[in-house]
Amino acid sequence: MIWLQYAVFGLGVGAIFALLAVGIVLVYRATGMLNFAHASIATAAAYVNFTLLERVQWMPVGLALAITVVFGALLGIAIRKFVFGPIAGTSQVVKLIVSFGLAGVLQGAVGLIWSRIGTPTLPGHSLFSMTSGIKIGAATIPSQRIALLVIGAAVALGLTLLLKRTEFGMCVRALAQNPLAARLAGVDERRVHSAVWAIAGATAALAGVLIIPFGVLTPLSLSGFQIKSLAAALVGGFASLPAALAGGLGLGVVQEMLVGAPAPLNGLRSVLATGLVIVLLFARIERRFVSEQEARALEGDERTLAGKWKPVPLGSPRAWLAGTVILALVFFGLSGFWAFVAGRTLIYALLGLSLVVLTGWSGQVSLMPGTFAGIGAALAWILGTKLGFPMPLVLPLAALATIPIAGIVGVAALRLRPLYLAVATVAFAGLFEETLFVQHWFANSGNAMSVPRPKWIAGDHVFGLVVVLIVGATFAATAAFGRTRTGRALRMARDNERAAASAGVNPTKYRLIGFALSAAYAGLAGALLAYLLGTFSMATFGFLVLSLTVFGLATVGGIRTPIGALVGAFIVVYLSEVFRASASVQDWVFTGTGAAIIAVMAYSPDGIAGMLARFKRHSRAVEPPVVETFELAEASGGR
Amino acid sequence: MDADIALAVRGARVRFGAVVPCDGVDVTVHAGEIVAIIGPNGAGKSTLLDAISGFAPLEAGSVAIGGTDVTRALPYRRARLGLARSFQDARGFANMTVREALLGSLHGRFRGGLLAEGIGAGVARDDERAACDAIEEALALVDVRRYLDVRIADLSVGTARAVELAVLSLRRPAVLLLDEPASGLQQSEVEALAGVIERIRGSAATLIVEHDVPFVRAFSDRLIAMDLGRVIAEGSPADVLDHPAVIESYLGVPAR
Amino acid sequence: MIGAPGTGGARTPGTVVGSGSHETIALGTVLPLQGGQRNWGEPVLRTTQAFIDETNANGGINGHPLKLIAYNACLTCQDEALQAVRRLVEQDHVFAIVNTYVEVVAFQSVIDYLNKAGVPLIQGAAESQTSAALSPVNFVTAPSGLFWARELPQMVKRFTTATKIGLTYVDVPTETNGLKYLRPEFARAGITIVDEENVAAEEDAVTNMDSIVTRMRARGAQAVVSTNPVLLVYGRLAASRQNWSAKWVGLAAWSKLVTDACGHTCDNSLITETAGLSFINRNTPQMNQFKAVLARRFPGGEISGLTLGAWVGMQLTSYVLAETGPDRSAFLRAMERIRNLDLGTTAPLTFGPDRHMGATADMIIGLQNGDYVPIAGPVNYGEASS
Repeated sequence: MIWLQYAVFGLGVGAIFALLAVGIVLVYRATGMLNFAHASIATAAAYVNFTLLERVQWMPVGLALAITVVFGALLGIAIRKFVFGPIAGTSQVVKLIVSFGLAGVLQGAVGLIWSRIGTPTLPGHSLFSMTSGIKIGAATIPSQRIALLVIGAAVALGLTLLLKRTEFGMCVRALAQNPLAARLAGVDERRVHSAVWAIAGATAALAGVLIIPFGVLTPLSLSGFQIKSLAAALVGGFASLPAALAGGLGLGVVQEMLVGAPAPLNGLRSVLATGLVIVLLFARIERRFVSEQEARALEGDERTLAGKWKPVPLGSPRAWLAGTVILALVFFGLSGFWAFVAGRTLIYALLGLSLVVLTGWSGQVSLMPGTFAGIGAALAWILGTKLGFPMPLVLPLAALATIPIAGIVGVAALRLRPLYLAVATVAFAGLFEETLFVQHWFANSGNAMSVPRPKWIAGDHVFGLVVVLIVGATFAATAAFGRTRTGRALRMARDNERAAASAGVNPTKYRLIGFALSAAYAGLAGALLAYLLGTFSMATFGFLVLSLTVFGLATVGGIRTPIGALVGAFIVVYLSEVFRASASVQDWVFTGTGAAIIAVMAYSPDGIAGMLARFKRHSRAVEPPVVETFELAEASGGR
Repeated sequence: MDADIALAVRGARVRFGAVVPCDGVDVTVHAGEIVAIIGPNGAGKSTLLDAISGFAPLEAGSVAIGGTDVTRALPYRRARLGLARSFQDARGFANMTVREALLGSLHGRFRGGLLAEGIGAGVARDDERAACDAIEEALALVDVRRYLDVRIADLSVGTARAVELAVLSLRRPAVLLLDEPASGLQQSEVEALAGVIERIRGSAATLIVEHDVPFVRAFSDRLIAMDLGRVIAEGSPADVLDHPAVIESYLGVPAR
Repeated sequence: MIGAPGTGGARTPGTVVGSGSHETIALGTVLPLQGGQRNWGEPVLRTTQAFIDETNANGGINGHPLKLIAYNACLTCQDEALQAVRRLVEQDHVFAIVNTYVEVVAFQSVIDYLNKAGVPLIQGAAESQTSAALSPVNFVTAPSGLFWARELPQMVKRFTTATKIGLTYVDVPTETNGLKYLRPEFARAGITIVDEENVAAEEDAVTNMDSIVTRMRARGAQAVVSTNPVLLVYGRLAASRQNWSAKWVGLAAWSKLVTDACGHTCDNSLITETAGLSFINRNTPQMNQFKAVLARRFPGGEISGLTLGAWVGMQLTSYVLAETGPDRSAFLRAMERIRNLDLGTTAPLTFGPDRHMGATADMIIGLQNGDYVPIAGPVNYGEASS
């Protein structure tokens, strides 16, 4: 009997995941964009709903819901126009990155707007009863949960029918499978996409309003569901609505039944969603639901960005070394506090550099730089504090030891297509946080770890100098590496795996090299950060706190060039220090970085560094040679 | 005779689910030979090239390069054994400049590893000099010098094709596979194409898949005609092109 | 009127009011002020500022006006918190840090830094600490961790009839670290923990509590203990959905969330405490002054553990400042000499060389008609046996 109760509770919980998952699947299926901002849309709608109910005295709950759903639809249309439109033809990975930017914008905007009005802390008003409902044994399932279940199922099935049986649905599918042919057949791409986004926005709004009564309304209260609804959507390969419904409900049921399970199983709850994502990705679940042709069409074409990727100069190693020396000299003019800030900026730049090598040069989108840094920091604690090794030994060892741990992810990455690799890194980040990062022997169970500096470099200036020298040397070496045969092979494997293999480049080997190098950089950065802070805990290396920040700064700075990492770090660390006194600085950072990511992906994928390089080129008035018709005869020296 | 068989394909069969684009195909190319494969769309020509270069798995049959069986080998291994292929879309490395693509194609020829490069060791420096020399060689064959710093994505189809051929020449391949090299070219360029291919291929065994029949008629030593995944005729260009089955597969009417 | 604004100088005889320079005394604080974390940071900030504005309006402390410099750092952002504190100390030259609200584990590097710099840190509203001995510069007005560990079993023993309980907590170091003190104390009180349920994050509480409650009940729990107010509230709500009338006992430090979210459902069934802060209906002049100033200078600000805690932190700081002036080592020594100081808004505070968490008593409160009402107190279970 009790297991039936757990199962029924699980259905109620799972309905939350399912209702969110349905919107994610719809957008992916129709546009190829895996929307990480879906929960944020739901959050914005929940705030709108709350405001309607609190500010307008006479507002009946049902009417507020209706207005909020309309708001969700309008927000969806706006997203289609301003965010999705400019990147509609690009690759899935670009769309994923843009969805991160969108999430940042929405979260930040919610924080900014509603911080003026006054932050609500109450559960919103619910449409159905939260206390009475159906009895099962000794337990009562409140009507709101049942409503959630019924509505979730209805929406999923309704959308399935919409896609399969209506002409509109046919247009959506045609557009997804073969955009060119559909357009030629008269399908208006913009109208169809606007309609799809409107439906998705409305679904998200509905989910937000129905779910919030179960909790406290804060800008982050729905974000916890993002990974779980993603896992549910993945059960259907991101493509099947009924499977997403089943997946969400199933996930909820399993989660709740694990509550009743005995000790070791019980602990699986924390890794259920992330573990499920990884298992499903490895099983290539999408193959069951998406035809090869549709998959390729959804993948989009990265070459539509090709026109915008301009080669950005790497900077010669000598220039980097000279820059390092100059910075070191400037350093001594700084006060202790600004030396600390500069040190932190350089460490973030090093983290950004790890992404330049992995994502920019090797083409593998990773959202785990913070995780790898965390591993490096923990290793610094183990090697330096627990085992007593001196710092000059700890730093390189921590960097090297990060490689095999990251290697797990790297090997996994080989099997996965770019989009799924990115999703896998998100799942791995969560998995590491729940398993390795809470171990007693590795991370002091999440408590503070102390990594004191050796006496001879305890001072801010001396230690900061060490950071400058190490990071500068790494940048110089990387610039040199970019010009070598290996560096070129890395980029060949990224640009066109087939052509690279045909040139004798083993794509597997070079992708792993990319991962290894990136892991070493991030591990080194983590170890340096440990010494810089002196005392830290693994919370500093969380996904939201560090990985997303580093990913944002590297993307905005310019993902394909080392200078980009430096520019990005400077903006993020220095600017937040300048604005620290402002209360809403974090919200502005979210909004600004999010908008910058969207703008960069749409208009200047090489980020700020790319814009500066282009500006320099234009100001020198050097025009690229015009290439018109080419006489092969000419090239072959005449016939 | 058998000693200089550069490429030997026996009974190649490729299956994609219920579709069998390639069914029991035999191809032999000797060193120095130019063999062309013709056939209507859907005949399986490109799939055959994919199977030879390792991008399509063989359900049955074998592929051997210079006597070494490569049926189970990954594409990059086949490249290391001397196989070079072009792609229909000439802009393989769209974001790289011509110079970088040329340098990149030397990957298999020079072996200085990561560590050697990292410390600027002697072997790496020698490699650099050798690389410059090699590029000069390639430019002597195909003069794309003025496009060295242009991105491949910015080139016209004809220029990109020329660059691709220069890139392939640097590999000094034993077997050269060309996938519809004349596609996208205008007539004058097609006429020049044969000359360029001749200059760059050296003594490589060359297998060309093409639609442009007059081009291959004048250019190749032997012709193979395919239809619906099978070889329907093989021999000298004149014989093959007069073959009734070939004419039927192209025009759809039995030859009179 | 000890420790209220406007009475600076009344403590130490011989200090001439108005003498000495009028240089401003700067105080710094680091608070989470963005997004959802604003819930915690803003009330503390506004109350601290309100106290300072009121003090300045009444002539400051011995003629020294006060100034507050506040920086933003998220709850778990250690490097941000450290950077902010360093800026306060090295660039803004604050005298002391007051009323910070950052997660305890994240704050360790800050405490180490302040230790080395000799800068006092006074916390009124703070995340619950688990250990009683803090660093030489850090003073907290709340009771120590051991106090909670002893108080919870006594609350169960005195206000419920349960001998078997379920225990639920959030899986964060702040709470899990306290368990190793808590479990033996329950055993000593003769209470058996029949089921322990950890919840990964507070967000999960709102969806998972039905199953958790079911399991605890099935295991024979007669009451439930929670170390986290979110779990306390949503657990009690889930329990009531399932018609389980067992009492819920926990640490909520007089949180607004309980009254707002639980309301009448929690009447007579939820037992919590005030973290050493005074009970709201206590009719002292200082308590009335607090309410009045809050209403005037922080309209809309509600009375809660956060606002009252911030007020108490400032009361304590200005009380000692009035005695020692802006002299850090004198300040720290004076803090450690405090014995049974009644600020009118908290339990009497006692500090010492080994005692930096000052509260000596607590109030036990429950809910009636959706509002907090006193049940018992002041009680001091923490010191009872040792």
